[in-house]
Amino acid sequence: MGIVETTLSEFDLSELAPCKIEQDTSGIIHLHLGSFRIEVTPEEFEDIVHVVEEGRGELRTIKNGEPVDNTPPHVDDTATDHAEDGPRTTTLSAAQQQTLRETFVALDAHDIPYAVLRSYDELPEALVGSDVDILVDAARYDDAVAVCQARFEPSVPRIDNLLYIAGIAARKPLLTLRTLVTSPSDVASFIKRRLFASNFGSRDYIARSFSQENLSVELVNHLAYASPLDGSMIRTAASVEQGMLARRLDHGVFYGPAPADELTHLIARGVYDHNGVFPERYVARCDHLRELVYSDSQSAVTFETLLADLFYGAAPLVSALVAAGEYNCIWPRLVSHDGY
Amino acid sequence: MNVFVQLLASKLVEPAPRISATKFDVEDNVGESIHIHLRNLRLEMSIEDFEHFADNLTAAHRELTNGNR
Repeated sequence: MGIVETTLSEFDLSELAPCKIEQDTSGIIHLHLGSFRIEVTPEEFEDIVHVVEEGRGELRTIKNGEPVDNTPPHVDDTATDHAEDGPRTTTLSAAQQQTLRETFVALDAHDIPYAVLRSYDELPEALVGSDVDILVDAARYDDAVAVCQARFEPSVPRIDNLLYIAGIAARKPLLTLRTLVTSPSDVASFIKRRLFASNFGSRDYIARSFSQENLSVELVNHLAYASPLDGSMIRTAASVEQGMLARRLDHGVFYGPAPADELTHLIARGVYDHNGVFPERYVARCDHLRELVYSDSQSAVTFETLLADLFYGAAPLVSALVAAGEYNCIWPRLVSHDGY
Repeated sequence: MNVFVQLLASKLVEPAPRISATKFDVEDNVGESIHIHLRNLRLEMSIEDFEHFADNLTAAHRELTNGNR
């Protein structure tokens, strides 16, 4: 506890005031931010100054519209689903169709809320894309896994989950090594969760695949999209997935999302999972869903609310670009957006 | 500084937080705010406030080093 020797700076921030930077007689720097105080050494303070300055420089570069790499720096592990604009359509055998029908019936019989997320128009006769993606109520995820395990081949740890773990180690070798040394139990827990997640609670995003020959079904317990930072799957607000399940529509054999929910999902997937470049089939589907959403006032309100849950203060910007059908402009416009 | 301080509670804690002990990131949370993560502490501010904050950090640093760096 030193006596203040020098006041280095005094200022107010709109939601933090008063702010003051002081040095006491022992040399410690005090950062007063409203009623909080952080004490750091002069060396730590210098690091803070330099990192914040570096961050500001990068922010100015991005927001001033200078050329930036618009491609998020993560490796998209869903490449097989979107590499080509014309997705692979696979006609399913009678046995596979029957398995799918039985699966959906069993989910209903067990009162497990679910929705087939996308590319479902030709189900159960044909599979468009690489697999059938199904969002399941997180609280019933293990029950849904049991339904699929009874009808499909035994699941194995997903190769993309293995690659995800290997990717983290490759990208951050020093951090990985340090974490292995200092927190081995955390590392073991993470790997278990990632590979065999359904046995380890439902706090995190889980994706498990089940297959029957060339038919693949993927169950996810949450809506999540790839982080532009490192490709890790980031969950959306709980209201987004809860709303999708609450508003799901009966397609006869299975349930799918309502237009506002599906449109929001495809927008988020295009922006985050597809690096901002919407495949042609997404553009066509979004155009169709947009017509449905804006032809119904309640659906339009739901869509705007969902965008706000996903894009915060940038939701009006995203909404305007969706209304104009300029889906591929969303990513670069979000990057340069500075209205917050 | 208040002379009349009375201890109300105390406990020895770990020398570094168990969560994010080495983290120091500045992030643009697009549409939301700028986040400054320093170990397990997160400061959130608007872009305008962040500019102001950075200005004052730099000014304080200049004052501290008295132009010697």
